Order: sequence, then structure tokens, then C-alpha cells
Amino acid sequence: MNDKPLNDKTDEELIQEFQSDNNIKAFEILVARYKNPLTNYVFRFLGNYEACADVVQETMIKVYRYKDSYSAIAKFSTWVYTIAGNLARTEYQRIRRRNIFSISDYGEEHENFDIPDNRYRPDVATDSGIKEKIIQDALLKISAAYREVVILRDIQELSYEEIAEIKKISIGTVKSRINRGRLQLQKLLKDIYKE
Amino acid sequence: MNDDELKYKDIIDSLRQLKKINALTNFESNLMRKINTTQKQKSLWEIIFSPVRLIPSAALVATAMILIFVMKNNSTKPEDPFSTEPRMREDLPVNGLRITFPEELVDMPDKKEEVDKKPLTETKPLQESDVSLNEFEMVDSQFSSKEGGLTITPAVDETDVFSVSTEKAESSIISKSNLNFRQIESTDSSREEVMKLKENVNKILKTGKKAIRKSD
Repeated sequence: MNDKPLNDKTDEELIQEFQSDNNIKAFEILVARYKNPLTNYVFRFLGNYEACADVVQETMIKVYRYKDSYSAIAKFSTWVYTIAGNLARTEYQRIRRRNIFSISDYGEEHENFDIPDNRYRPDVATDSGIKEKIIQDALLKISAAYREVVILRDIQELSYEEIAEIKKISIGTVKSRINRGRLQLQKLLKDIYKE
Repeated sequence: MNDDELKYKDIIDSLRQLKKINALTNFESNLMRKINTTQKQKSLWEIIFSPVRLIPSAALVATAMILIFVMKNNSTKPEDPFSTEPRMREDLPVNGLRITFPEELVDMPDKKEEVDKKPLTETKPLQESDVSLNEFEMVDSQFSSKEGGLTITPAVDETDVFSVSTEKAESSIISKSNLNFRQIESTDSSREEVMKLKENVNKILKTGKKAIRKSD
């Protein structure tokens, strides 16, 4: 490898160094670079910090264990976001199964009922912290497929091409999903924007 | 910013202004501790073919095979009434024989009625106590009475067991080959007669012994 300090190397150079020389320092630099973006991405997707911390840790463990499965043809960021997204989706489904339980035994036609969420009360939604919470709750209410691309685009500020590569879908599909997600968010947050 | 993004400008701005969530301060130390403590995940084949999983599975398969083997050997085939022979009735000792009576007996309605009413008693001629050499003689593996009276011939089928033939005694014969000796059962009367015969023999033997002693 070249003589550049590790901190100056690109993500791809660091992962290659980690692959070839098993350089733990290169891995630690990658962890330092991606721990916060991944935490932000996963938290916005899950809405639960503890679960988010576990998912990001698991993502980094997978990078460590399966470093050889990374191919230099792809960007490291797309690879690590793909891993984090897959784990976050799995965790989200697990959380959903845990939170939504069937009370069909009490229903007449075996219906499933969601537990009503009484956390959001417009009468107390005053300051910016609560506004942020409302936006986060609205994010969690839109479908997971739309939420994921909206977060990647509007919060993580990735390009359409990167999102298409992470999600392994076409750019047109990415744009379509983002717009649908934004539309759903707009409907959910119309009370905020009236003010 | 394209047209779509302008359309949703408020939403996009709100999302971009959201506070950035950072990882915990001890993220790296926790991560390295996890990496060092957790073992390398086993592959699917290692999980499937691990001895811990294989032994109970093999035991289960072996048990199932033994059970199938045992059950198969003990299983009884459903009886097909058209392919199996009818069961022999144990209360009919002369199964397969036709009993024929001479014309003299046939002409006597009282005796014929007795034969019809008591079919089991008519099996007596086959039994050892009843078939005495004085009354019957064996001709070419067939039995017939000396007096030309009662003759026994093998029945053609089961339904003819108690049919009474009006043929003459000379034409009626008993075939020894078709006799089913396993079916013979001694009745109470025959046992009594056997006992009487035994007593007679014993008496004769005793008298013979006494005569020998006297002569001595």
C-alpha cells in the first residue's frame, strides 16, 4: 500500500488494508467514520435508540467478520449502509411483532387490532423538541420501504445513485418511493405546517 | 433542487433540520469487546451436522424404524371372505362326511326325526368307541357296515353334512382319506363307553390273573 497515513485514506483503501493485512487500526478508523451516520440512519428508521445501538454494533461486527465479502467494485459506504439497512429492517419487524399483538380471540371475525398510540397530543406539541418528536413519529408511520429511502435521501443526504445501489433498485424507483414517502409525511404533518 | 424537491421543500427542510443522533461514547470499546468475546458464527452445515443435533435425530429415526418394523410384523391382514376357506366348526366333529342310512331307517320317520333333531349324536360312528370292528369292516380305505345297514361317505360339500342318503348300503362307502381326524371330539357318552370298555378290560385282566394263580 502507499505511505499515506491511515486517517487520510479513503474508505475503500482502509477496507482493503483491513482485508489484506488484517489491520485493526484501519477497521477502527472505518468504525469512527461510520458509527454516527449509521446510528442516525438506524435511529430514524427504528425510533428506538437501544435497538439502534445494537443494530449499528451488529453492522460493525459483520463488517469485521465478513470483510472478505466486500468487493472493491462497490463503494464501502453503500456496502455498510446495505448491511445496516438489512439489520434495521429485521429489527423493525421484530419490534413490530412484539408491539402489535393479536386480540383476535376476543373479536368476532379474528381481526387484528393495533394498540392505539396516545403519545402524540397536538395540544402539547409546542416546542421544537416536541416538533422533532412529531416528525420522528410521522416517519415511523409511513411504510418502511418509503421511510428508508426518505431517510437516506433527506436526512443522510445520499445521492439517488447511491440509494439505488444500496437498495438494489432503479433510480426511477428510488425517486418514486421518495416522493410517495414525502407525500405521506406531508399528510401526516399538515397540522404543523398550517401554523 | 428539482421540481419534486421544491414541492416538498418544507418536509425536506424539516427532515434535514432534525438533530443528528450520535453513537454512544464507548461505542468502540463495546464493539471490540463484543468482537473478542463472540465466537465466529458457525456455518449452516456445522449447525445442521453438529453431534448435539445429530444424536437425537439419529435416535428418533432408529426408534421410528424399529416401531415400523414391529408394527409391520404384528399387523394382521384384513380377512377376505372370498379368498379364505370357511372356518371349521369345532362342534361338528364329522365335518366333511356324509352320513347315509339304509332304506329301512329312512322308512322309519321316527328315527329319521331323531337324526335331524340330534345331528351331533350322529357323529358317533366316527369315534373310536362307537366304531367297533364287529359292526364295520374296512374295504380299500372305506368303512361300511357288515350288516349292510349304516354307511358313511365323505360329503361333497359342507351343506351336505347331515343329509341322509337313501342309497343302498353296498353303494355307500366311507373314504378314509377325507376324514379330518383333528375334528374328532369325544362326547360325554363316548367317554362313558370308553370308561366302561376300560373297566371290562381290567376285569378280564383281573379274572385272567386269578385263573393263572389258581392254576399255579
